Amino acid sequence: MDIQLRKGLLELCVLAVLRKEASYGYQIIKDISQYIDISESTLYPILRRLEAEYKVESYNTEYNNRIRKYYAITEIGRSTLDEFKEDKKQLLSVLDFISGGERYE
Amino acid sequence: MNKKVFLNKLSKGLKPIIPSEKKKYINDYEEIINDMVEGGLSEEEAVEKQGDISKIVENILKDTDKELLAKKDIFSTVVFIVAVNYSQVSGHNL
Repeated sequence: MDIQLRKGLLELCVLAVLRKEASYGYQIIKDISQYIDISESTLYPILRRLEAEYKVESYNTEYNNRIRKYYAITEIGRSTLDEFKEDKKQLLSVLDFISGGERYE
Repeated sequence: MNKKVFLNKLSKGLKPIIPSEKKKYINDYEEIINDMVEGGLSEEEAVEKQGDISKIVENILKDTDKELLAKKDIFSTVVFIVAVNYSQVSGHNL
């Protein structure tokens, strides 16, 4: 898949995973991997960027005597997903158009 | 390679990033290696799963905003990436 397209999709995937519930790196990768390939070195810069954009916030918790960092979606993150939902219809038409769908003469 | 050596090499590779940002990444990788070990992998296996250190560094650096770079000099950043890669290939410790 084209790199730019992947990047955009991955950011939305991370938000979608976190909208269900707060999670941590290892678990986020597991959940997203069911749909699209993602590695740690891809995920963490994405999380940094989402944090910088205030779409995600992080907090530390103690787990088994070590620190685990949790990520949670913010209101801004939620609106980003809502905006995407609105765009979905148009996106599907565009994808259809690109792949030469029969709807377009 | 064990976790400590891996994190040290990663830390060296990420030198172009300001310390506070770099620390976040080192913690991220330590945490994920710990999680994998907890999931049943050995430390060596978990480290190996992270892949090539120079690739990790490259991915992180190219996605890091310029304001977060400690060194404004792109050339030395490239030298770092090459040096980390070389040390991995030749087995030398940086």
